[in-house]
Amino acid sequence: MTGSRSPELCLGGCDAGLRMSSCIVVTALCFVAMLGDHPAAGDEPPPCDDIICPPPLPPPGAPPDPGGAFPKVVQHLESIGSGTPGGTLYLASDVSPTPHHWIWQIEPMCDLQGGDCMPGEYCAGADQGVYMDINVKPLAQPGDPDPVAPPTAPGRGLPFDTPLPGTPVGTAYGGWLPAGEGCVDVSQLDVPPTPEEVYEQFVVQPIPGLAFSVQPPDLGLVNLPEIYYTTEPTTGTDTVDIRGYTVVLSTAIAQFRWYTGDPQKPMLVSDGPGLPYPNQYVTHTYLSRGDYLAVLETIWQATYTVDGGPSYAVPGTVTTTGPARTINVVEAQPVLTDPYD
Amino acid sequence: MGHAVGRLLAAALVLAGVSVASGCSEDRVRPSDTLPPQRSTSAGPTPTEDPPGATGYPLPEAARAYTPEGARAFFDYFIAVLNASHLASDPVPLREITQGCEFCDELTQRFQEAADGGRRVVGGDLVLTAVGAATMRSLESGAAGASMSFRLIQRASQVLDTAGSLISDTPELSADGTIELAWLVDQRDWLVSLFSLDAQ
Repeated sequence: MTGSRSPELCLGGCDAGLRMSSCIVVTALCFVAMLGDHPAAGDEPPPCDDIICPPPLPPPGAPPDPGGAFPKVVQHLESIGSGTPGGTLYLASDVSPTPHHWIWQIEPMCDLQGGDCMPGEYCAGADQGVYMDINVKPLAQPGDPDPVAPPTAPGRGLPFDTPLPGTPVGTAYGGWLPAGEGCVDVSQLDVPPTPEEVYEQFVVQPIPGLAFSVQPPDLGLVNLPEIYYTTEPTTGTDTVDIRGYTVVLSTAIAQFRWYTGDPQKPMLVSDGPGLPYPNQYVTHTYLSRGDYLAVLETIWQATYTVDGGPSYAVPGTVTTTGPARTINVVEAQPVLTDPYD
Repeated sequence: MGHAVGRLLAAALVLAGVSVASGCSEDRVRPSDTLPPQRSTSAGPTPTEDPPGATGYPLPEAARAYTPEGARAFFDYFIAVLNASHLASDPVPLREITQGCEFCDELTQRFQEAADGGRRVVGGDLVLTAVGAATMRSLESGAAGASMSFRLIQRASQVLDTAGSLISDTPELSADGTIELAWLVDQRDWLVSLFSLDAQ
């Protein structure tokens, strides 16, 4: 990991103030922290004012990294084609090539919260490709210049800096050097699905838009609160296969957005599905006659498990829209009646 | 589409150079424990141009040569300036001798935040424990420079708040790293273009 990007080097981990390019950030654990339990302000680790900082301790009870300990070091990275539209597609593997000159470090770099990129945005056409930051580190080779033992053979192909004296052949040396970004196929690595891969599956699930009911039904009265609610299922479960891993997605609605069709107050927001009279809590009072086109938009979030393991938050949401319905709001005319009639 | 490949190639080109087998002795890899004396501001003729190096930290003449030894001398100078910037929570000296160095930029930001927060660092200076031979790029390449791999330790440190209370306590840490220097032909000076640490 490069000094500028390593969590071990005190980059604030999930500090939202860091630029994406600065923060390699975005370890899979980081996604969980961003979307899951936010530590209270008093629980924030002290700022690191050193040049090298100790690795941050995971919060108590935190599950292990869901992404398979990214950043991950792999033995081989090979260009196998083009990702769409983000650049080259690489295949990562732990098979040591011959000759073996470098090792590679890869880490997903989509910062969903920061909006730098979305999973699938750059690697949409690349099967199982995940947009990654790529670093490289040279391995000491036979004949590398050595102040103690002068070289007796030409150096290897790419003239990286020379290893420290006494570095055994085949040993990595120096810091991680930036080698670019690209879509990386990790199917040959024994790593569980990354949160980004799970998100890519989440967005293609058939998550329904919800119908809703109003009271009075489809006929409103000026100055009389109209009640909105839905009785549709607001949770769901889907099972998908990602590179042979069984991933169970548990979806739930994080937010309900009720579009009233009334320019005076176009949207109501609630955490719950609403309830009918007399327990209503989502209402809107129309002040003018007319036909109003109302619709319910739902923001879905999800958690997932891999092969029955711990549960993690999926880094991202899905928005669905249900069928619209017209509410005919009429004005009641006062009529005098005989109370003794 | 091809920018990743381009950056890979660029990374290779940036690192490209001629391997040099120099006769480093143990003395050469031992870091200096002190900074050069600060420049006097009250004596001597008025300079006609800014002196090389960071303000207040004169660049040793040995570091003004485009040779492996010159690159190595500048590396020692950089570590000394970095330590001074760190301990003083003053980003300016470090900023003056770096360019395009992402990690250096983050360090300057970190030092500035420490200063703004009134925090004080005690200890935590870097000490080089091993440095590989400098790999030099060709002067004719248009991107003259050098790179070195190294190993260092960061001595144990404490961070104190404005009242002197302990905020954090960091033990001694070690790291492997790589530094890349860009050579300024006209000024006979170097700038740090990459400083990468991999904590062990």
